[in-house]
Amino acid sequence: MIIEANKIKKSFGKLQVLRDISLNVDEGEVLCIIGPSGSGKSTLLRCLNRLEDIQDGSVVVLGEDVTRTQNINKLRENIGMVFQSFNLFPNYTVLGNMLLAPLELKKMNRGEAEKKAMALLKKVGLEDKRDVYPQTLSGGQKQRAAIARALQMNPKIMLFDEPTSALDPEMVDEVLKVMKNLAQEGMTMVIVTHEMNFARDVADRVIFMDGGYIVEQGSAKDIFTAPKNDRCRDFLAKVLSA
Amino acid sequence: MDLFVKIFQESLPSLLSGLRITVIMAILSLFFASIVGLIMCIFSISRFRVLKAISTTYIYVIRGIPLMILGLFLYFGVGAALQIRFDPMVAAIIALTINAGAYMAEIFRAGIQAIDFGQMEAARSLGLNYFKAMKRVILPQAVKIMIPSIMNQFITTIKDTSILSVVSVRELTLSGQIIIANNYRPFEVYAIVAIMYFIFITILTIISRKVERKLSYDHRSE
Repeated sequence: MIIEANKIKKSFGKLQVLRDISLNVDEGEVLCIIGPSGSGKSTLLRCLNRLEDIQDGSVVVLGEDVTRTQNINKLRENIGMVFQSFNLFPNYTVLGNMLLAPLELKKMNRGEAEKKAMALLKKVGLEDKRDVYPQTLSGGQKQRAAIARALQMNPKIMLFDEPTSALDPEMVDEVLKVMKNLAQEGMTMVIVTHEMNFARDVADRVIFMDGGYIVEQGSAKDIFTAPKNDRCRDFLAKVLSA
Repeated sequence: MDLFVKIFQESLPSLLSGLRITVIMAILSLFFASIVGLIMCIFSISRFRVLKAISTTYIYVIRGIPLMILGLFLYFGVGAALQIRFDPMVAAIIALTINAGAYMAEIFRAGIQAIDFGQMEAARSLGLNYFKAMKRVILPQAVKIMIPSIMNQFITTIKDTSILSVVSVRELTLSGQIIIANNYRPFEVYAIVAIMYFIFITILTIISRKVERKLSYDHRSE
């Protein structure tokens, strides 16, 4: 078990966002979290690397208790995260974005880091953009660069928080393709997404969340062809017909 | 015209030494004000309530007191209460520092908070600690936004040095007043004083434009 979340409770002020969530992820597993907005999907994801604190329960990632660990930074090096709004650093080039953390944390020397960065940029199809500032990239290119930046740290887990939701429709596929390749290489991935076709294709397991609960979970095939829960069925009917 | 040239020549040495005092006062108080501002800014964005309260109170109080009163209070009031004789220059620099520090703290805070929080989250999620994320990601972006406001404050403080003539620092304004008391030529002398301030500030403005351009990365591309 590479991620074990046990009975997590999380609220923002009086608003309870996560109620009693338990979740396990195996090594190499691709887990997609779907559900209506406000259901707590993103919050759950952000609890896994402690971008959010939890009020109750426990999260254990790679054998370390996320909420109690003395060295969250070390743990985060192993948990890559990709955001909806890319969050590339505008004061660095694409290469600079990728080299910042590994060099600052002395994970690699410069030559080694650059070599790895070039290989990754090639993988995401951005080898000609290494010296460009993020502002000049398209949305799809930005997100691919952000994925490369996260991969540069050699993470054991990748978290994706609605990675295609801020993209123009014609750029969604180029990002999903990169993610699909990553999944095929055996990366452990937890993906919050609204891309149902992608989830159906790539996910080993799908979780449907609503109102702060995991309402249904199962293989992608089960969830998409024969959802048992009413809310899940309604949700899928709505998004798949759209 | 001949008369003007004569007045100019006669008053120049004294005005230049006044200008020197003004420049020294401005540079020292802006230097200290930047440090005070930075500390107060760190306090105001910190998680600790006590530090936050210290910073809020300081800014609130100082913004509510005119600089001239602050100067008079320090030089005459505090001096008398503690039975010490302040050097007027020292009192003036302290007053300017306390005053400008409050405004600098707000400029720094606004600049840092203008940066999208996602930048901090992205940096932290890569494993950088808070200070490294601040130093390498947030501050470089924030400083760029702050520069015009910082320059504004620098210019304001340079001009505010003239207010401290009331505690008998022989800076540019007081030097002018002393000359006028002797030659009864307020029109000419104040005109020269005004031009001197103007040139000083213009030089600073040119430097700041250069710095701003150097820090810009928005228009650089492949």
